[in-house]
Amino acid sequence: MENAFKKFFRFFPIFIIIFFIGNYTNAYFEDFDSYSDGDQINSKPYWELSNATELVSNTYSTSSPNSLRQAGNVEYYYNIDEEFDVIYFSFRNRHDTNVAKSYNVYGFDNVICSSPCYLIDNIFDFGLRQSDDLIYFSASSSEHLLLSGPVIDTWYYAKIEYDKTNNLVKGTLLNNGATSGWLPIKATLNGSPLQKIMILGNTYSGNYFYTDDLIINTTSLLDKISFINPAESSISTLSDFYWEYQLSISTSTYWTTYEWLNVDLLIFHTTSGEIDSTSTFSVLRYPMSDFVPLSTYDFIVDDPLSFPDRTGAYYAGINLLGVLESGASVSLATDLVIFGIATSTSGYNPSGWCSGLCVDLATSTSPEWWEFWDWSVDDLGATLLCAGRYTICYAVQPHSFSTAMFNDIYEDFKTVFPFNAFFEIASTTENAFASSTMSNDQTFGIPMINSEKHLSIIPVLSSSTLSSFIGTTNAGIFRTTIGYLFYAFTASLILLIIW
Amino acid sequence: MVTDVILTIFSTIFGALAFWLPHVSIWPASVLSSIEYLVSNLAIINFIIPMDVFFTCVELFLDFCVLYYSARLLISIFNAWKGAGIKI
Repeated sequence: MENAFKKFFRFFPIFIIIFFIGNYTNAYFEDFDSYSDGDQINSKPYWELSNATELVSNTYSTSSPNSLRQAGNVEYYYNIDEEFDVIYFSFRNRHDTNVAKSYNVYGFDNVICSSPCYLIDNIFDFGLRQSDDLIYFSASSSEHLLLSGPVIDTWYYAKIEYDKTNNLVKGTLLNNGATSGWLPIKATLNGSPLQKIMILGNTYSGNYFYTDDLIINTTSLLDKISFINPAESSISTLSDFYWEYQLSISTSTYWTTYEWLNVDLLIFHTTSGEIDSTSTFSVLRYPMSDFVPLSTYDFIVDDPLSFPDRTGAYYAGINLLGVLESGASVSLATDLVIFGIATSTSGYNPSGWCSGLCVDLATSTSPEWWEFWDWSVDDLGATLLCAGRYTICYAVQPHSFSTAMFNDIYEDFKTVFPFNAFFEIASTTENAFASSTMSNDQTFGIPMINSEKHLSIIPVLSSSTLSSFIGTTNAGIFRTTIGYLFYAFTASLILLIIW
Repeated sequence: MVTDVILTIFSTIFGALAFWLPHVSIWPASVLSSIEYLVSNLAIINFIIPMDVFFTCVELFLDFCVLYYSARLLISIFNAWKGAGIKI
Protein backbone atom coordinates (compact mmCIF):
# COMPACT_ATOMS: atom_id res chain seq x y z
CA MET A 1 0.00 0.00 0.00
CA GLU A 2 2.76 2.37 0.92
CA ASN A 3 4.59 1.56 -2.30
CA ALA A 4 1.46 2.36 -4.24
CA PHE A 5 1.28 5.75 -2.56
CA LYS A 6 4.95 6.34 -3.31
CA LYS A 7 4.46 5.49 -6.96
CA PHE A 8 1.45 7.73 -7.16
CA PHE A 9 3.14 10.69 -5.57
CA ARG A 10 6.25 10.18 -7.65
CA PHE A 11 4.20 11.01 -10.70
CA PHE A 12 2.13 13.64 -8.98
CA PRO A 13 4.09 16.63 -10.39
CA ILE A 14 3.59 15.22 -13.88
CA PHE A 15 -0.15 15.12 -13.30
CA ILE A 16 0.00 18.72 -12.18
CA ILE A 17 1.87 19.83 -15.30
CA ILE A 18 -0.45 17.93 -17.63
CA PHE A 19 -3.46 19.33 -15.86
CA PHE A 20 -2.10 22.86 -16.00
CA ILE A 21 -1.16 22.75 -19.67
CA GLY A 22 -4.38 21.03 -20.63
CA ASN A 23 -6.57 23.49 -18.85
CA TYR A 24 -4.71 26.52 -20.04
CA THR A 25 -4.71 25.35 -23.60
CA ASN A 26 -8.43 25.18 -23.26
CA ALA A 27 -8.54 28.52 -21.47
CA TYR A 28 -6.57 30.27 -24.15
CA PHE A 29 -8.80 28.76 -26.74
CA GLU A 30 -12.04 29.64 -25.00
CA ASP A 31 -11.87 33.04 -23.45
CA PHE A 32 -8.32 33.99 -22.77
CA ASP A 33 -8.04 36.28 -25.72
CA SER A 34 -10.55 38.87 -24.78
CA TYR A 35 -8.49 41.84 -25.71
CA SER A 36 -6.13 40.98 -28.48
CA ASP A 37 -7.60 38.39 -30.79
CA GLY A 38 -10.59 40.17 -32.10
CA ASP A 39 -13.19 39.16 -29.57
CA GLN A 40 -16.24 41.32 -29.66
CA ILE A 41 -16.84 43.68 -26.82
CA ASN A 42 -20.44 43.75 -25.73
CA SER A 43 -20.84 47.40 -25.30
CA LYS A 44 -24.35 48.50 -26.06
CA PRO A 45 -25.56 52.03 -25.65
CA TYR A 46 -28.97 52.12 -24.10
CA TRP A 47 -31.53 54.32 -22.55
CA GLU A 48 -33.38 52.60 -19.78
CA LEU A 49 -36.10 55.14 -20.17
CA SER A 50 -35.04 58.10 -22.09
CA ASN A 51 -36.36 60.97 -24.07
CA ALA A 52 -32.99 61.32 -25.68
CA THR A 53 -34.42 59.83 -28.82
CA GLU A 54 -35.82 62.80 -30.57
CA LEU A 55 -38.80 62.66 -32.81
CA VAL A 56 -38.91 65.50 -35.24
CA SER A 57 -41.59 66.69 -37.55
CA ASN A 58 -43.16 69.43 -39.57
CA THR A 59 -40.28 71.65 -40.27
CA TYR A 60 -39.30 70.98 -43.81
CA SER A 61 -42.05 70.48 -46.26
CA THR A 62 -42.48 70.55 -49.99
CA SER A 63 -46.11 71.51 -49.68
CA SER A 64 -48.24 73.38 -47.23
CA PRO A 65 -49.96 72.76 -44.96
CA ASN A 66 -48.34 69.62 -43.65
CA SER A 67 -50.46 66.58 -43.19
CA LEU A 68 -48.79 65.78 -39.90
CA ARG A 69 -49.44 68.33 -37.26
CA GLN A 70 -47.43 67.24 -34.28
CA ALA A 71 -45.28 64.42 -33.06
CA GLY A 72 -43.46 63.69 -29.89
CA ASN A 73 -43.63 61.93 -26.54
CA VAL A 74 -40.87 59.55 -27.41
CA GLU A 75 -39.91 56.96 -24.87
CA TYR A 76 -37.23 54.45 -25.59
CA TYR A 77 -36.81 51.45 -23.36
CA TYR A 78 -33.63 49.58 -23.89
CA ASN A 79 -33.39 46.33 -21.98
CA ILE A 80 -29.86 45.13 -22.05
CA ASP A 81 -30.69 41.67 -20.76
CA GLU A 82 -33.93 41.28 -22.66
CA GLU A 83 -34.70 40.35 -26.18
CA PHE A 84 -36.77 43.39 -26.97
CA ASP A 85 -36.32 47.10 -27.09
CA VAL A 86 -39.50 49.09 -27.04
CA ILE A 87 -40.14 52.55 -28.40
CA TYR A 88 -43.28 54.58 -27.90
CA PHE A 89 -44.16 57.76 -29.68
CA SER A 90 -47.25 59.62 -30.68
CA PHE A 91 -48.28 61.79 -33.57
CA ARG A 92 -51.23 63.88 -34.57
CA ASN A 93 -52.40 64.03 -38.13
CA ARG A 94 -54.31 66.72 -39.94
CA HIS A 95 -57.85 65.81 -40.87
CA ASP A 96 -59.03 68.81 -42.84
CA THR A 97 -56.61 69.34 -45.70
CA ASN A 98 -53.69 67.36 -47.01
CA VAL A 99 -54.71 64.30 -45.09
CA ALA A 100 -51.85 61.87 -45.07
CA LYS A 101 -52.73 58.62 -46.73
CA SER A 102 -49.79 56.85 -45.32
CA TYR A 103 -46.91 57.36 -43.00
CA ASN A 104 -43.41 56.11 -43.20
CA VAL A 105 -41.51 55.68 -39.96
CA TYR A 106 -37.77 55.69 -40.06
CA GLY A 107 -35.38 54.96 -37.28
CA PHE A 108 -31.80 55.82 -37.78
CA ASP A 109 -28.67 55.99 -35.80
CA ASN A 110 -26.89 58.92 -37.27
CA VAL A 111 -27.80 62.32 -38.56
CA ILE A 112 -25.86 64.83 -40.50
CA CYS A 113 -27.65 68.10 -40.34
CA SER A 114 -26.32 71.03 -42.28
CA SER A 115 -29.45 72.44 -43.83
CA PRO A 116 -31.05 70.55 -45.36
CA CYS A 117 -30.57 67.53 -43.16
CA TYR A 118 -30.35 64.05 -44.46
CA LEU A 119 -30.14 60.61 -43.02
CA ILE A 120 -27.64 57.89 -43.03
CA ASP A 121 -27.77 54.36 -41.74
CA ASN A 122 -31.44 53.58 -41.49
CA ILE A 123 -32.21 51.09 -38.79
CA PHE A 124 -35.74 50.36 -39.86
CA ASP A 125 -38.34 51.63 -42.22
CA PHE A 126 -41.95 50.63 -42.36
CA GLY A 127 -45.22 52.18 -43.31
CA LEU A 128 -48.17 53.36 -41.27
CA ARG A 129 -51.00 53.56 -43.71
CA GLN A 130 -54.44 54.97 -43.50
CA SER A 131 -57.40 55.42 -45.76
CA ASP A 132 -60.18 57.83 -45.02
CA ASP A 133 -61.55 55.79 -42.21
CA LEU A 134 -58.92 53.22 -41.48
CA ILE A 135 -55.44 53.27 -40.16
CA TYR A 136 -53.29 50.24 -40.16
CA PHE A 137 -49.80 49.01 -40.23
CA SER A 138 -48.86 47.44 -43.46
CA ALA A 139 -46.07 45.11 -44.30
CA SER A 140 -47.25 44.31 -47.80
CA SER A 141 -50.32 44.76 -49.95
CA SER A 142 -51.80 41.54 -48.63
CA GLU A 143 -51.00 42.01 -44.96
CA HIS A 144 -52.42 44.77 -42.95
CA LEU A 145 -53.92 45.41 -39.59
CA LEU A 146 -57.03 47.50 -39.41
CA LEU A 147 -57.99 50.04 -36.87
CA SER A 148 -61.57 51.14 -37.22
CA GLY A 149 -62.68 54.69 -37.00
CA PRO A 150 -62.56 57.86 -39.02
CA VAL A 151 -59.49 59.98 -39.39
CA ILE A 152 -60.05 62.54 -36.72
CA ASP A 153 -58.03 65.23 -35.14
CA THR A 154 -56.56 63.20 -32.37
CA TRP A 155 -53.34 61.69 -31.17
CA TYR A 156 -52.23 58.30 -32.34
CA TYR A 157 -49.85 56.26 -30.32
CA ALA A 158 -47.38 53.91 -31.88
CA LYS A 159 -45.35 51.23 -30.29
CA ILE A 160 -42.36 49.71 -32.01
CA GLU A 161 -40.67 46.65 -30.69
CA TYR A 162 -37.28 45.39 -31.68
CA ASP A 163 -36.88 41.67 -31.60
CA LYS A 164 -33.13 41.63 -31.23
CA THR A 165 -32.87 37.88 -31.43
CA ASN A 166 -34.72 37.45 -34.70
CA ASN A 167 -33.88 40.86 -36.08
CA LEU A 168 -37.50 41.85 -36.56
CA VAL A 169 -39.47 44.96 -35.95
CA LYS A 170 -43.04 44.76 -34.78
CA GLY A 171 -45.41 47.65 -34.70
CA THR A 172 -48.58 48.44 -32.82
CA LEU A 173 -50.77 51.42 -33.40
CA LEU A 174 -53.03 52.65 -30.67
CA ASN A 175 -55.77 55.21 -30.82
CA ASN A 176 -57.34 56.43 -27.61
CA GLY A 177 -55.95 53.48 -25.76
CA ALA A 178 -57.22 50.82 -28.13
CA THR A 179 -54.60 48.32 -29.08
CA SER A 180 -54.79 47.29 -32.65
CA GLY A 181 -52.67 44.19 -32.32
CA TRP A 182 -49.44 42.95 -33.71
CA LEU A 183 -48.10 42.57 -37.14
CA PRO A 184 -44.54 41.51 -37.76
CA ILE A 185 -42.81 43.76 -40.19
CA LYS A 186 -39.53 42.48 -41.35
CA ALA A 187 -36.75 44.96 -41.29
CA THR A 188 -33.02 44.81 -41.23
CA LEU A 189 -31.45 46.15 -38.12
CA ASN A 190 -27.80 46.89 -38.08
CA GLY A 191 -27.62 46.79 -34.33
CA SER A 192 -26.66 50.39 -34.00
CA PRO A 193 -28.09 52.56 -31.29
CA LEU A 194 -31.23 54.33 -32.29
CA GLN A 195 -30.71 58.05 -32.32
CA LYS A 196 -33.78 59.49 -33.92
CA ILE A 197 -37.18 58.56 -35.25
CA MET A 198 -38.65 60.33 -38.21
CA ILE A 199 -42.19 60.25 -39.56
CA LEU A 200 -42.98 61.06 -43.13
CA GLY A 201 -46.57 61.76 -43.94
CA ASN A 202 -47.44 60.93 -47.54
CA THR A 203 -50.35 62.06 -49.65
CA TYR A 204 -51.05 60.39 -52.94
CA SER A 205 -53.14 60.73 -56.02
CA GLY A 206 -53.86 57.55 -57.89
CA ASN A 207 -50.65 55.59 -57.90
CA TYR A 208 -48.52 58.58 -57.30
CA PHE A 209 -46.84 59.04 -53.95
CA TYR A 210 -44.82 61.96 -52.93
CA THR A 211 -43.26 62.94 -49.72
CA ASP A 212 -45.03 65.73 -48.07
CA ASP A 213 -43.78 66.29 -44.62
CA LEU A 214 -41.08 66.76 -42.16
CA ILE A 215 -37.52 65.93 -42.10
CA ILE A 216 -35.30 67.16 -39.32
CA ASN A 217 -36.11 69.94 -36.98
CA THR A 218 -32.93 71.83 -37.61
CA THR A 219 -33.67 74.61 -35.17
CA SER A 220 -33.70 72.20 -32.28
CA LEU A 221 -30.22 71.03 -33.10
CA LEU A 222 -28.54 74.36 -33.26
CA ASP A 223 -25.86 74.91 -30.71
CA LYS A 224 -26.35 71.40 -29.62
CA ILE A 225 -24.32 68.30 -29.43
CA SER A 226 -26.29 65.92 -31.50
CA PHE A 227 -25.06 62.81 -29.84
CA ILE A 228 -22.31 61.37 -27.82
CA ASN A 229 -21.95 57.73 -27.97
CA PRO A 230 -19.61 54.85 -27.81
CA ALA A 231 -19.13 54.06 -31.45
CA GLU A 232 -20.51 50.60 -31.05
CA SER A 233 -20.79 49.83 -34.70
CA SER A 234 -17.10 50.45 -35.08
CA ILE A 235 -15.97 48.31 -32.20
CA SER A 236 -14.26 45.16 -33.22
CA THR A 237 -11.79 44.84 -30.40
CA LEU A 238 -11.36 46.71 -27.19
CA SER A 239 -8.45 48.62 -28.59
CA ASP A 240 -10.81 50.10 -31.15
CA PHE A 241 -13.16 51.46 -28.54
CA TYR A 242 -13.68 55.15 -28.96
CA TRP A 243 -16.24 57.87 -28.44
CA GLU A 244 -17.81 59.89 -31.12
CA TYR A 245 -19.92 62.97 -30.91
CA GLN A 246 -21.29 65.48 -33.30
CA LEU A 247 -21.56 69.21 -33.00
CA SER A 248 -23.87 71.43 -35.00
CA ILE A 249 -23.18 75.11 -34.95
CA SER A 250 -25.71 77.85 -35.48
CA THR A 251 -25.39 81.38 -36.72
CA SER A 252 -26.05 82.81 -33.30
CA THR A 253 -24.21 86.05 -32.84
CA TYR A 254 -22.92 85.23 -29.41
CA TRP A 255 -21.05 82.34 -30.84
CA THR A 256 -18.21 84.53 -31.98
CA THR A 257 -17.88 86.20 -28.61
CA TYR A 258 -16.03 83.18 -27.24
CA GLU A 259 -12.35 82.58 -27.68
CA TRP A 260 -12.41 78.89 -27.11
CA LEU A 261 -14.75 75.99 -27.21
CA ASN A 262 -14.26 73.47 -24.44
CA VAL A 263 -15.67 69.99 -24.61
CA ASP A 264 -15.68 68.13 -21.32
CA LEU A 265 -16.49 64.46 -21.16
CA LEU A 266 -17.31 62.68 -17.95
CA ILE A 267 -18.05 59.06 -17.25
CA PHE A 268 -19.90 57.73 -14.27
CA HIS A 269 -19.96 54.06 -13.53
CA THR A 270 -22.66 52.47 -11.47
CA THR A 271 -23.44 48.91 -10.54
CA SER A 272 -26.49 49.30 -8.36
CA GLY A 273 -27.85 52.71 -9.18
CA GLU A 274 -25.26 54.42 -7.01
CA ILE A 275 -22.41 56.18 -8.74
CA ASP A 276 -19.32 54.34 -7.59
CA SER A 277 -16.71 55.99 -9.72
CA THR A 278 -16.32 59.08 -11.80
CA SER A 279 -13.62 59.82 -14.25
CA THR A 280 -12.93 62.78 -16.42
CA PHE A 281 -12.77 61.25 -19.80
CA SER A 282 -11.36 64.10 -21.69
CA VAL A 283 -11.18 67.87 -21.67
CA LEU A 284 -10.62 69.27 -25.10
CA ARG A 285 -10.25 72.87 -26.15
CA TYR A 286 -10.58 74.23 -29.65
CA PRO A 287 -10.10 77.77 -30.94
CA MET A 288 -13.47 79.16 -31.87
CA SER A 289 -12.01 80.38 -35.14
CA ASP A 290 -11.80 76.76 -36.25
CA PHE A 291 -15.56 76.56 -36.55
CA VAL A 292 -17.77 77.82 -39.31
CA PRO A 293 -21.39 78.67 -38.57
CA LEU A 294 -24.09 76.39 -39.93
CA SER A 295 -21.72 73.50 -40.07
CA THR A 296 -21.55 70.12 -38.51
CA TYR A 297 -18.44 68.59 -37.05
CA ASP A 298 -17.72 65.08 -36.06
CA PHE A 299 -15.31 64.39 -33.26
CA ILE A 300 -13.74 61.16 -32.19
CA VAL A 301 -12.13 60.76 -28.82
CA ASP A 302 -9.93 57.77 -28.35
CA ASP A 303 -8.66 57.51 -24.83
CA PRO A 304 -7.54 54.09 -23.70
CA LEU A 305 -7.63 55.18 -20.06
CA SER A 306 -11.38 55.03 -20.25
CA PHE A 307 -11.84 51.60 -21.69
CA PRO A 308 -14.95 50.23 -20.03
CA ASP A 309 -13.78 47.09 -18.32
CA ARG A 310 -16.41 46.68 -15.65
CA THR A 311 -19.93 45.39 -15.85
CA GLY A 312 -22.83 47.62 -15.08
CA ALA A 313 -24.13 50.90 -16.40
CA TYR A 314 -22.06 53.77 -17.62
CA TYR A 315 -23.35 57.33 -17.73
CA ALA A 316 -21.44 59.46 -20.15
CA GLY A 317 -22.01 63.17 -20.04
CA ILE A 318 -20.70 65.86 -22.29
CA ASN A 319 -20.61 69.56 -21.57
CA LEU A 320 -19.96 72.13 -24.24
CA LEU A 321 -18.48 75.32 -22.85
CA GLY A 322 -17.81 78.64 -24.47
CA VAL A 323 -14.71 80.22 -22.92
CA LEU A 324 -14.20 83.97 -22.92
CA GLU A 325 -10.85 85.66 -23.20
CA SER A 326 -10.95 86.31 -19.47
CA GLY A 327 -11.17 82.59 -18.86
CA ALA A 328 -14.78 82.65 -17.75
CA SER A 329 -16.89 79.95 -19.35
CA VAL A 330 -20.52 79.51 -20.16
CA SER A 331 -22.22 76.19 -20.67
CA LEU A 332 -23.70 76.08 -24.15
CA ALA A 333 -25.09 72.58 -24.30
CA THR A 334 -25.01 69.29 -22.49
CA ASP A 335 -25.94 65.77 -23.37
CA LEU A 336 -26.04 62.46 -21.60
CA VAL A 337 -26.13 58.87 -22.73
CA ILE A 338 -26.29 55.63 -20.86
CA PHE A 339 -24.77 52.42 -22.00
CA GLY A 340 -24.18 49.14 -20.32
CA ILE A 341 -21.78 46.28 -20.34
CA ALA A 342 -23.36 43.00 -19.41
CA THR A 343 -21.93 39.64 -18.63
CA SER A 344 -24.92 37.77 -19.94
CA THR A 345 -23.84 38.10 -23.51
CA SER A 346 -20.90 36.15 -24.73
CA GLY A 347 -17.49 37.09 -25.89
CA TYR A 348 -16.31 39.73 -23.49
CA ASN A 349 -14.59 38.90 -20.27
CA PRO A 350 -14.84 42.02 -18.16
CA SER A 351 -12.42 40.83 -15.53
CA GLY A 352 -9.64 40.54 -18.08
CA TRP A 353 -6.11 39.70 -17.22
CA CYS A 354 -3.55 42.42 -16.74
CA SER A 355 -4.92 44.81 -19.30
CA GLY A 356 -4.19 48.46 -19.84
CA LEU A 357 -1.16 48.55 -17.59
CA CYS A 358 0.90 50.73 -19.88
CA VAL A 359 -1.62 53.21 -21.17
CA ASP A 360 0.02 56.03 -19.24
CA LEU A 361 3.43 55.29 -20.72
CA ALA A 362 4.78 56.72 -23.93
CA THR A 363 4.64 53.48 -25.84
CA SER A 364 4.43 54.94 -29.27
CA THR A 365 4.32 52.72 -32.29
CA SER A 366 7.09 54.52 -34.03
CA PRO A 367 9.59 53.02 -33.81
CA GLU A 368 8.01 49.63 -33.33
CA TRP A 369 9.01 47.73 -30.27
CA TRP A 370 11.32 45.43 -32.17
CA GLU A 371 13.19 48.31 -33.78
CA PHE A 372 15.31 48.68 -30.70
CA TRP A 373 18.12 50.34 -32.62
CA ASP A 374 15.86 53.36 -33.05
CA TRP A 375 14.73 53.51 -29.48
CA SER A 376 15.25 56.65 -27.53
CA VAL A 377 16.01 56.63 -23.83
CA ASP A 378 12.37 57.41 -23.11
CA ASP A 379 11.20 54.54 -25.30
CA LEU A 380 13.56 52.17 -23.56
CA GLY A 381 12.48 53.31 -20.11
CA ALA A 382 8.82 53.09 -20.93
CA THR A 383 9.23 49.68 -22.51
CA LEU A 384 11.15 48.30 -19.55
CA LEU A 385 8.64 49.75 -17.12
CA CYS A 386 5.79 48.31 -19.12
CA ALA A 387 7.48 44.93 -19.29
CA GLY A 388 8.01 45.00 -15.54
CA ARG A 389 4.39 45.78 -14.85
CA TYR A 390 3.14 43.01 -17.06
CA THR A 391 5.66 40.53 -15.69
CA ILE A 392 4.65 41.16 -12.11
CA CYS A 393 0.95 41.19 -12.96
CA TYR A 394 1.09 37.94 -14.90
CA ALA A 395 3.15 36.34 -12.15
CA VAL A 396 0.99 37.29 -9.22
CA GLN A 397 -2.53 37.95 -10.40
CA PRO A 398 -4.47 34.78 -11.12
CA HIS A 399 -6.51 34.70 -14.24
CA SER A 400 -10.24 34.51 -13.77
CA PHE A 401 -10.14 31.13 -15.47
CA SER A 402 -7.97 29.74 -12.65
CA THR A 403 -10.16 31.04 -9.90
CA ALA A 404 -13.31 29.89 -11.67
CA MET A 405 -11.85 26.46 -12.30
CA PHE A 406 -10.73 26.11 -8.69
CA ASN A 407 -14.13 27.22 -7.46
CA ASP A 408 -15.95 24.71 -9.65
CA ILE A 409 -13.72 21.83 -8.63
CA TYR A 410 -13.89 22.74 -4.96
CA GLU A 411 -17.66 22.82 -5.09
CA ASP A 412 -17.58 19.34 -6.65
CA PHE A 413 -15.11 18.16 -4.04
CA LYS A 414 -17.46 19.21 -1.25
CA THR A 415 -20.09 16.76 -2.48
CA VAL A 416 -18.02 13.54 -2.22
CA PHE A 417 -17.81 11.18 0.70
CA PRO A 418 -16.45 11.50 3.39
CA PHE A 419 -16.08 15.26 3.05
CA ASN A 420 -19.73 15.79 2.34
CA ALA A 421 -20.51 14.47 5.81
CA PHE A 422 -19.31 17.80 7.10
CA PHE A 423 -20.03 20.10 4.19
CA GLU A 424 -23.64 19.05 3.82
CA ILE A 425 -24.36 19.79 7.45
CA ALA A 426 -22.47 23.07 7.24
CA SER A 427 -24.14 24.26 4.07
CA THR A 428 -27.60 23.17 5.25
CA THR A 429 -27.12 25.04 8.49
CA GLU A 430 -25.83 28.18 6.82
CA ASN A 431 -28.64 28.13 4.29
CA ALA A 432 -31.14 27.70 7.10
CA PHE A 433 -29.59 30.67 8.89
CA ALA A 434 -29.83 32.77 5.76
CA SER A 435 -33.46 31.89 5.15
CA SER A 436 -34.70 32.07 8.75
CA THR A 437 -36.68 35.06 9.88
CA MET A 438 -35.80 36.65 13.17
CA SER A 439 -38.76 37.60 15.28
CA ASN A 440 -38.92 40.26 17.97
CA ASP A 441 -42.66 40.40 18.56
CA GLN A 442 -43.26 36.88 19.83
CA THR A 443 -44.67 36.09 23.22
CA PHE A 444 -43.73 33.19 25.42
CA GLY A 445 -46.74 31.86 27.30
CA ILE A 446 -47.70 29.08 29.66
CA PRO A 447 -50.88 27.05 29.39
CA MET A 448 -53.50 27.35 32.07
CA ILE A 449 -56.90 25.75 32.66
CA ASN A 450 -59.26 28.01 34.49
CA SER A 451 -62.08 27.08 36.83
CA GLU A 452 -64.44 26.70 33.88
CA LYS A 453 -62.07 24.13 32.35
CA HIS A 454 -61.11 26.34 29.47
CA LEU A 455 -57.54 26.17 28.22
CA SER A 456 -55.82 29.50 27.75
CA ILE A 457 -52.27 30.68 27.22
CA ILE A 458 -51.07 33.26 29.68
CA PRO A 459 -48.40 35.54 28.25
CA VAL A 460 -45.33 35.45 30.46
CA LEU A 461 -42.42 36.73 28.45
CA SER A 462 -42.30 39.15 25.56
CA SER A 463 -39.77 41.47 24.00
CA SER A 464 -40.83 44.26 26.35
CA THR A 465 -40.63 42.19 29.53
CA LEU A 466 -36.94 42.79 30.18
CA SER A 467 -37.24 46.48 29.35
CA SER A 468 -40.08 46.79 31.80
CA PHE A 469 -38.00 45.28 34.59
CA ILE A 470 -34.59 46.89 34.11
CA GLY A 471 -35.20 49.68 31.61
CA THR A 472 -34.58 49.92 27.89
CA THR A 473 -30.92 50.89 28.17
CA ASN A 474 -30.06 48.09 30.53
CA ALA A 475 -32.02 45.62 28.42
CA GLY A 476 -29.95 46.64 25.43
CA ILE A 477 -26.73 46.22 27.40
CA PHE A 478 -27.92 42.83 28.60
CA ARG A 479 -28.69 41.69 25.08
CA THR A 480 -25.35 42.95 23.77
CA THR A 481 -23.54 41.19 26.59
CA ILE A 482 -25.12 37.89 25.72
CA GLY A 483 -23.97 38.41 22.15
CA TYR A 484 -20.40 38.94 23.31
CA LEU A 485 -20.65 35.80 25.40
CA PHE A 486 -21.56 33.90 22.25
CA TYR A 487 -18.49 35.31 20.52
CA ALA A 488 -16.29 34.44 23.50
CA PHE A 489 -17.59 30.90 23.56
CA THR A 490 -16.95 30.50 19.82
CA ALA A 491 -13.42 31.83 20.15
CA SER A 492 -12.76 29.42 23.01
CA LEU A 493 -14.02 26.53 20.94
CA ILE A 494 -11.71 27.45 18.05
CA LEU A 495 -8.75 27.77 20.41
CA LEU A 496 -9.49 24.36 21.84
CA ILE A 497 -9.51 22.81 18.36
CA ILE A 498 -6.19 24.38 17.46
CA TRP A 499 -4.77 23.36 20.81
CA MET B 1 1.36 32.52 -13.19
CA VAL B 2 2.68 31.71 -9.73
CA THR B 3 -0.78 32.02 -8.24
CA ASP B 4 -2.21 30.15 -11.20
CA VAL B 5 0.16 27.26 -10.61
CA ILE B 6 -0.77 27.11 -6.94
CA LEU B 7 -4.44 27.17 -7.78
CA THR B 8 -3.89 24.49 -10.39
CA ILE B 9 -2.14 22.26 -7.87
CA PHE B 10 -5.04 22.59 -5.46
CA SER B 11 -7.52 22.09 -8.28
CA THR B 12 -5.72 18.92 -9.31
CA ILE B 13 -5.85 17.51 -5.80
CA PHE B 14 -9.47 18.38 -5.21
CA GLY B 15 -10.42 17.31 -8.71
CA ALA B 16 -8.76 13.93 -8.30
CA LEU B 17 -10.48 13.37 -4.98
CA ALA B 18 -13.81 14.43 -6.42
CA PHE B 19 -13.29 12.04 -9.32
CA TRP B 20 -12.24 8.98 -7.32
CA LEU B 21 -14.38 9.26 -4.22
CA PRO B 22 -18.04 8.26 -4.24
CA HIS B 23 -20.82 10.82 -4.35
CA VAL B 24 -22.70 9.20 -1.50
CA SER B 25 -24.42 11.16 1.21
CA ILE B 26 -24.64 9.65 4.65
CA TRP B 27 -27.24 12.07 5.87
CA PRO B 28 -30.88 11.15 5.35
CA ALA B 29 -33.03 13.95 4.03
CA SER B 30 -34.91 13.94 7.33
CA VAL B 31 -31.76 14.98 9.18
CA LEU B 32 -31.12 17.90 6.87
CA SER B 33 -34.74 19.04 7.00
CA SER B 34 -34.71 18.75 10.78
CA ILE B 35 -31.79 21.15 10.90
CA GLU B 36 -33.78 23.65 8.88
CA TYR B 37 -36.75 23.15 11.21
CA LEU B 38 -34.58 23.58 14.29
CA VAL B 39 -33.01 26.76 12.97
CA SER B 40 -36.36 28.27 12.02
CA ASN B 41 -37.65 27.58 15.53
CA LEU B 42 -34.55 28.92 17.19
CA ALA B 43 -35.01 32.13 15.25
CA ILE B 44 -38.34 32.64 16.99
CA ILE B 45 -36.72 33.18 20.39
CA ASN B 46 -34.71 36.07 19.05
CA PHE B 47 -36.91 38.34 21.13
CA ILE B 48 -35.32 36.88 24.28
CA ILE B 49 -31.82 35.89 23.23
CA PRO B 50 -29.86 37.47 20.35
CA MET B 51 -30.11 34.49 18.04
CA ASP B 52 -28.82 36.52 15.10
CA VAL B 53 -25.49 36.80 16.92
CA PHE B 54 -25.66 33.14 17.80
CA PHE B 55 -26.14 32.21 14.14
CA THR B 56 -23.24 34.45 13.16
CA CYS B 57 -21.05 32.66 15.69
CA VAL B 58 -22.08 29.25 14.39
CA GLU B 59 -21.28 30.35 10.84
CA LEU B 60 -17.94 31.64 12.01
CA PHE B 61 -17.20 28.33 13.64
CA LEU B 62 -18.25 26.35 10.59
CA ASP B 63 -16.17 28.51 8.27
CA PHE B 64 -13.19 28.04 10.55
CA CYS B 65 -13.67 24.27 10.51
CA VAL B 66 -13.80 24.27 6.71
CA LEU B 67 -10.55 26.18 6.42
CA TYR B 68 -8.78 24.39 9.26
CA TYR B 69 -9.53 20.84 8.27
CA SER B 70 -9.00 21.58 4.57
CA ALA B 71 -5.58 22.94 5.41
CA ARG B 72 -4.79 19.88 7.52
CA LEU B 73 -5.88 17.63 4.69
CA LEU B 74 -3.68 19.43 2.17
CA ILE B 75 -0.71 19.39 4.52
CA SER B 76 -1.11 15.68 5.09
CA ILE B 77 -1.19 15.08 1.34
CA PHE B 78 1.88 17.23 0.95
CA ASN B 79 3.61 15.18 3.65
CA ALA B 80 2.70 12.00 1.85
CA TRP B 81 4.13 13.41 -1.35
CA LYS B 82 7.38 14.17 0.47
CA GLY B 83 7.49 10.58 1.66
CA ALA B 84 6.81 11.35 5.31
CA GLY B 85 3.68 9.24 5.32
CA ILE B 86 0.11 10.31 5.84
CA LYS B 87 -0.23 12.16 9.13
CA ILE B 88 -3.53 13.76 9.82
